[in-house]
Amino acid sequence: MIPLSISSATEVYGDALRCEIIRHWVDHPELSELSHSLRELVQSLGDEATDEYWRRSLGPIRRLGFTFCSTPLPFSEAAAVAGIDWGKLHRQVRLCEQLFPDAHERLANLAQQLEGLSAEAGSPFIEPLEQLHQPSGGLCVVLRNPRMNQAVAAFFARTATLRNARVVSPSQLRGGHLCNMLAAIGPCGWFPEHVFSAPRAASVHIILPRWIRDPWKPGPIFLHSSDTSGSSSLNHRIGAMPRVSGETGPTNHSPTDILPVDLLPPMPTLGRNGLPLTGSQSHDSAETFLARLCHLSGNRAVFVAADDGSTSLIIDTIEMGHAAVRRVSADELEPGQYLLLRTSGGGDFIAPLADRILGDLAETRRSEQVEWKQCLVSAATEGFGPLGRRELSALVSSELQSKNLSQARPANVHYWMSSKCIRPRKIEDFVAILKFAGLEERSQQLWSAMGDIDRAHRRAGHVIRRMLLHKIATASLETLERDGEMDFELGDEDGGTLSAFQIAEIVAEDFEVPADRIGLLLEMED
Amino acid sequence: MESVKLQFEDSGEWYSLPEWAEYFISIGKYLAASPPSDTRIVTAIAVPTRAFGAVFVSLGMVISDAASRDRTSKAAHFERLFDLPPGTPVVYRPEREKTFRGILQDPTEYDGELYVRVQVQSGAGGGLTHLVDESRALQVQPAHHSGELPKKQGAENVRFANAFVDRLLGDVDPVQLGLRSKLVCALVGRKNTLEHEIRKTPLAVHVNGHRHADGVLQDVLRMNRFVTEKQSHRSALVPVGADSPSGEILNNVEMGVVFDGALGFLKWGNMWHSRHQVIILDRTEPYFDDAISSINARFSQNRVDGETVLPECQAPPGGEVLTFREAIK
Repeated sequence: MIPLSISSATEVYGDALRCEIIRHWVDHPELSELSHSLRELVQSLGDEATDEYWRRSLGPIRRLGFTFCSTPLPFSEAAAVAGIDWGKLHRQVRLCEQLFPDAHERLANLAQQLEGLSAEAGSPFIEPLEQLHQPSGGLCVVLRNPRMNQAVAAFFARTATLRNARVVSPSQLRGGHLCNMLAAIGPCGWFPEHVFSAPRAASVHIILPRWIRDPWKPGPIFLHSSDTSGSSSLNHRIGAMPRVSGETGPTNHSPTDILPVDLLPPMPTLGRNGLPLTGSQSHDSAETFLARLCHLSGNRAVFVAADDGSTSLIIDTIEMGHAAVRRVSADELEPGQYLLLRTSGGGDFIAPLADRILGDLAETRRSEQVEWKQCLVSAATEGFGPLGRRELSALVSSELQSKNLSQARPANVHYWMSSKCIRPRKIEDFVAILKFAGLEERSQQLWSAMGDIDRAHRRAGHVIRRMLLHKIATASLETLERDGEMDFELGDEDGGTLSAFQIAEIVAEDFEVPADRIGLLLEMED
Repeated sequence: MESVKLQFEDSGEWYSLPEWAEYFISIGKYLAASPPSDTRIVTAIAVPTRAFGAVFVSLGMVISDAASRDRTSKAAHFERLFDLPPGTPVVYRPEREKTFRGILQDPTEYDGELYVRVQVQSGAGGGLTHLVDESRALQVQPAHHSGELPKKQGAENVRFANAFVDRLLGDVDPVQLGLRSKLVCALVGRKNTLEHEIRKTPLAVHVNGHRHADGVLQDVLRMNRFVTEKQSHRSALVPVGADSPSGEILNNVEMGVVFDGALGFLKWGNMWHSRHQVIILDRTEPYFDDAISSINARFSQNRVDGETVLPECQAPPGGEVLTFREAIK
């Protein structure tokens, strides 16, 4: 939200010119052994590793092993934050004896090693950080797993030798010059490349386990031809890049070395409750929406409505002023933006506030809203049979068009039938569908009644946006940008608590999703 | 010789533009200077931050466009003035920061040389008329005013005087004078961010080490989105959003399109088939890798032989620059 000035851009170029990238390798024989054993088991399982049993058994082990290799916290604290369910893991190990006797011993050993490490009060990353840290501050630390950011920040704050060290996220490393020294815990391959190729610090220290390969170095990204004049290319130039120096680590890598990707926990997936409808399910009469799946920070996800006219409220920290909080269509959503969701009481945060604005009128108006939709759906079902909403919408649309009542497309009719729609934009369309629904004589009265709801929704949206803008203007967004999520307390009268989550990825394919799952925060599973 | 330098302000002090900024300006100038051809130039620049890159490339294009106009059009402009009927309203700028309303009178020949005549006072005021030869033809520009002249006329005409623009673009600039609009370039990017850089970043022209005139990039770029209805524009801003660029902007850009960031390029990089393209890619932006892949695909599939030589200077720190020619479709 604070745009870079020419001076701050000059500092960024200065960082790129001066920056030195230094690797520090750390040792921990037991963690190394765990990493190798884990990788061997996963490799020996091959495709079976993605089966339900192995996902449930290896998921927690891989997640905690990765946490130990990527987090500067005493292992005992890291294990507590990771929240591993030891009882469940032991049950899985016992089950393995019956299901996969050949793999039982290896799994049991892994669980035992992990439990042993979880009792340790140290971490190999802490000492190198203490050596880098200056009492005056200026050290920032970036982690691969944003879910550990808060715990690590709290640990730094209460540790005399690391006080004033800051935890930052890769997103924060997109702005201006941030710190004198940046420490990344883990190999470069665990981080977006810009952390190293466009550094926001005068030096970047990579602190990583010695048993992980880390081949990254700066290099050209554009293809280019060999047109040269002397030593320089005529059509391709590379400016000064950060220099890689310091300990080079193991010079001769062995086949047993672990690649950065080997230790990453499995990609989380949507649990059974979050799965979209299958083709056959979507044909029943449940109200469904076209929705887009957004993966959010911290292994979460949400479906946002992708129908015509649907919008989501976002915070865009790249933008300034009023554009920083705005409503955008699904097509305009971008990774890096922060999606605002209500995490309790359903995903919709506008309707409850709109009802409060409507006051005593709310109950009557909402029942009128439900009434005309029910009449519309009933009329369609009576006319065309018990079909799914999509088919009914297409048939209603075609009927209205054949009678020259409305040129509405099936998608419009589908939206009008849904509980999310208040009323069509044009009164002619509203009159046409009410005529179809047998409510023609009440069209003026209902149009006016729905106008009340529409105005209340607009006012509610305006109130929430204004409150958010006020919050953003007066509060630090460091937590949001560091952890990828933040709660905004707007007060009960103004919408309660809204939570912002950073969009990590947007799935290209759209899904048919029941209305009650739109905007609902979904926890991903290992 | 005058040394003209653009400076920026930081905490009350003025500093010369840094080398990275000069580099972007030089890329804009280099495109403007490339001779007409049946190919266009695509230049991709990956940098640690996108800040100000695209606006300085646009500045380079506009400065070069003005310079080429000065070099090539004096004779043509003089002939055009000759063809205009007596009484045509004009503005006359005999020197920097002096501007008069005037009307053309019949041209004349004096001592074997041709002159256009510009009357700047009414008959009642004495009818003062200036003779202007071909070398000073650009000082006279057709204008939209009533043609009525005062008895006496001061030269401090604020509407037409902008020392900042004069120093950067030359003495007589038709766009600045509000006489006509053109689209030297289009800039595709985030409106608010670009507006901050173009309208809210104070700059100054220093001449021989002394601060001479203050201004902002908008004074020179004249982005269509930020001018009033009565002002003319020289460049277009295409905000990255749901709406595609208008037909007017697609058809009328004269020199090139500058993409400020990956998103705009990925959306609309296939438009403007016949115009040069400069793509500024911020290494930290979400769609950076996609844009690099797209550029590499174009380089390997569309590149045609032809000289494309980057400016001599080194690429900015953390930067990588690629330029190549594509056949115009």
